[in-house]
Amino acid sequence: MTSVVAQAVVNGLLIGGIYALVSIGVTLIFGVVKIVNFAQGEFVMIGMYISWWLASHCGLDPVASLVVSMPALFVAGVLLQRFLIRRVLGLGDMPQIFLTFALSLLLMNLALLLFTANYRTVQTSYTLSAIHIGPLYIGVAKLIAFALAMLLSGALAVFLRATDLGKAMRASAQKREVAMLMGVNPDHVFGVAMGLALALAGAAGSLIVPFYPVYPGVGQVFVLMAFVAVVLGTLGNVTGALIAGLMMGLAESLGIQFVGADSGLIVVFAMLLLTLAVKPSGLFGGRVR
Amino acid sequence: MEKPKGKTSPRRYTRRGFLTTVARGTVATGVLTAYGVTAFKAKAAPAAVNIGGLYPVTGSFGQIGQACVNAAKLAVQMVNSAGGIKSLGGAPLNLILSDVQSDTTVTRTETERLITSNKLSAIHGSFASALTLITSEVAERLKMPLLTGSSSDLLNQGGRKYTFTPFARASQFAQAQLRMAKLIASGKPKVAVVFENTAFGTSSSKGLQDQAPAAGVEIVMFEPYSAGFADASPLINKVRASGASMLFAVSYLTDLVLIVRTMKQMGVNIPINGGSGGFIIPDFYKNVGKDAEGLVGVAHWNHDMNADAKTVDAAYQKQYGDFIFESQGSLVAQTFMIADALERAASPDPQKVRDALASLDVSKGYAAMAPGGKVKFDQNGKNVYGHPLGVQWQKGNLVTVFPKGEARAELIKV
Amino acid sequence: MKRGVRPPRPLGYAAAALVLILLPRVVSNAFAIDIFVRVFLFAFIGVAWNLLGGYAKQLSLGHAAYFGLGAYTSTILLIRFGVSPWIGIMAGAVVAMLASLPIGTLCFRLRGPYFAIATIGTAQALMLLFLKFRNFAWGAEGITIPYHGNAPLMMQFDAKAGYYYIALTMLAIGLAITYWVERSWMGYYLVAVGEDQDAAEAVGVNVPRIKRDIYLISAFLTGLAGTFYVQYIYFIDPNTAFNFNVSVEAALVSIVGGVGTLWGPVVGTVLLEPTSALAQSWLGGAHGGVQLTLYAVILIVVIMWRPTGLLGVLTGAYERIVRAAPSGVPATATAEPKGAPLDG
Repeated sequence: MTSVVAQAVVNGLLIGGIYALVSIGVTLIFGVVKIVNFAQGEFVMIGMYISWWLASHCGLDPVASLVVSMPALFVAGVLLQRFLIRRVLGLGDMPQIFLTFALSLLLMNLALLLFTANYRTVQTSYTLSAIHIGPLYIGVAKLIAFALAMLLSGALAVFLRATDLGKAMRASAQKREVAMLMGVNPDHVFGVAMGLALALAGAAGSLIVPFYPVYPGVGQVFVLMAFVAVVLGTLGNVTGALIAGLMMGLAESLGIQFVGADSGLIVVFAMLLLTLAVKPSGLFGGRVR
Repeated sequence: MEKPKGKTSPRRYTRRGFLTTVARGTVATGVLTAYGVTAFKAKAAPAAVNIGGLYPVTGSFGQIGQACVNAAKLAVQMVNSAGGIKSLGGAPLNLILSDVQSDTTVTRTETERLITSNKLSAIHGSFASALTLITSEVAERLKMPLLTGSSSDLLNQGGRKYTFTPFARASQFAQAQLRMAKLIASGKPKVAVVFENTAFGTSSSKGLQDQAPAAGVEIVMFEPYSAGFADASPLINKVRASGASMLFAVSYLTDLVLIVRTMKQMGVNIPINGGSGGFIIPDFYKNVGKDAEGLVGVAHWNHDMNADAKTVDAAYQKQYGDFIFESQGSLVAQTFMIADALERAASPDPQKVRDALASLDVSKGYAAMAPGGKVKFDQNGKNVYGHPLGVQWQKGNLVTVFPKGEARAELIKV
Repeated sequence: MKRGVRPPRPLGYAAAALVLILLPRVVSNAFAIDIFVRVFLFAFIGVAWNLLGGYAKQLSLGHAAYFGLGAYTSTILLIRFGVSPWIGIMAGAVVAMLASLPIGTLCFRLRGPYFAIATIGTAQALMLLFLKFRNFAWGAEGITIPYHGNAPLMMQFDAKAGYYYIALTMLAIGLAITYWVERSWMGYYLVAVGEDQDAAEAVGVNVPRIKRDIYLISAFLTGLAGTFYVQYIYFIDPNTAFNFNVSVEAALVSIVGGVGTLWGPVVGTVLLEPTSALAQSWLGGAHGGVQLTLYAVILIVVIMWRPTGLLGVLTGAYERIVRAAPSGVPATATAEPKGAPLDG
């Protein structure tokens, strides 16, 4: 019995790492730019297509393709902020939500037009191998994805804490007007924030390609998880998003194991509702807005 | 600033004007005569008979829907190159397609639109059980005969008069899967059943649950799962914990691929019966590769069934490369069944076609291209000879291995 | 807020109403009538959404929850207990209304986009629950409405006209309610909450109660739509009933048309629904994704160009075309009084 639980925990954490990566991106954008990016899942999808394309046409390993997908998406994020997001800042919730929502719709359907609905998969040499530790099976591809996800999250945390630009971003997230008074250019900071968040989404996509199929609607699976994780981890809190992302993976896995295989999402929503009922401001307290 | 409108000068018959008028008149007369002559000369070509095809070309079933559309077009080509409907003067079939976008609402509106905006004689569709149930409802109300390969048992219930299902039903699939399980396993099989919580998964798995005791199979796990999950590990973990010696999975492609791969990865090496759905299409093998070898499933049609099926397969492969799979092949047969009905009805009227379908009784030709080679409908639209085939992936090819009399290859025990 | 815009003269309204009422007698093409039904239905859902999302600016993306609850309630009553959908529709709306209470209590704890996410979550949770209730509510397979032929007492019509009139009536009711709310004290409070919740509270508006009350109305109306829809398409399953697209469309039509306005949802639906239906019949099957890409592009363009919705554009155009001369107060009256000294 314990081995069943242990395996469930392992499975949950491994996929939770990916959820965490996506969630961090969402919370970063929310914290700094103060908008919710409904299209985050689609950027994961774009990262996946980039890696799939490179893998099937150039034989490039998906993990290695991070060096392509991350910068590409970083640039996309900066451009997105410059040309679209900037125009709707300050107009209230509605335009912002619907802009990113429309973007999500657009990207998904463009992918459908360009690549058709066919599922694409990539098989790497390590896709099917697993490490045995006692009775536990740990998929190698998933382990690599988890490890890199944690690495990237850690790198972001260091960036936010140690570099000037990172501090500027945190300052803008806390008190935008004061940060501006201190000489921070909000446009610049927002652009970088979006760039980083989208780069993380792209990374998440590239990392899961060895074990997950690529198709236009794949982002939807991740975005809902990410949103719940962001609420649970307190909006705008990067560490919170990380921890909550892992918790989401764990909850889903344990839910499937002990409640029912179709109950993974129900458990997740139960967590959302519980959070709302008990501590709406999330695990790390603070202001709701 | 407006230009002052000049008064039109009084018409004058100039020579030029006269000649021009005569010239125009001559040309016009000439054209009209030529047209009239040719029109009278050529016997009016027989008006095409319209049939409708409703498939999900986009959305979650898009991949298979597109493949079905390819097959539908091929089928019509085949009927027409064989001379069309002879009792209607060699009238060709005209296929009018509609994309139902894997969405129930769109299916509802599109089916209605297709039937009311066109003079159709019959329709076929829509691959997925969830969608076909709606197509059938609309067809019943609009009194349009519908042929479908969808396995849902609900399609033969509720007093339907216009819905015809020439191929195996979900309950029959279950029976076949259980019997195959006993052939593969040594001793009493302990089976874990996982199925996606959609119409397809639920109806198929219900059949399994109902019939297992009588078939001598023990179901140790019966678990619906949410389609489109990101990670199959928790599910496979459960399968392992259940002590099952065999897995029945009722899924469409993505989930099935994930399940198979994850099982391999987690070292759960028990035989898998992949049902139909995502299991029996070429893409399954492409995505799973060698791990698909030896996996068994069930299908209501297979490309190695008989000579006719092989011919259709060859024609399809020539155009599209992959082998023709279950839903595609069966709709080719259905197109020919419609053609057969039109022949006997000698009329494109849907009511007459419906009656002709109800009295269909064929045992040769493409219209009889079904397991067992015979098609005849009972009053619920079910084919009295209908039964499923057991199939297995062997060396990258999907071969029929069950029932014994119709096997084209030996069932390999994995 | 477009509340200050003068509506066209009542005669225009009466004429339009007459045309709409007589339309089914003249038009017999089922496809055309279907478009009208869908326009009325989705405009109605949009109007219901608009009360909460447009006026009070509580952006719900989970209205499908109420749609589905209404639909399932009436269907369960019909199939398991033989109750006519005319009663079922009311029962369904009441169930939806009651459900909005606990959902609201939970979700209103969040603001803005996070309220939206919470509402998405509740609709999805309901879908999952109904997928699980296989014995009670037919689970994933869903159920079809038994065919009674032409049975007006059971809300079934052979001719489309029956559905057309019901949908038209629902829309009229929705608009009437919105009109009444707009001009009542509740309307003022709603707008206050929508513009600045905290300020409204500071001024003494009972914000939680207002939000709760408008949510009740909004949910009730959406529940009605759900029952109608099931009766119209003869089929229900959790995916159709709680479909995210319904939630999206409810909000979309108001945003494109004009949030917080009476006619906004109607304008939005008139633009989007027929476009979508026609795009589907012309492009459908040609290339997947074209139609929705179009939708997305329209939405992006509208948001970037006129975030408050197209109604403003239309009324502006109307003013320019119809009003020949500028009416109203001469310019000088708005000028600063000359010579008034400021401080010191």
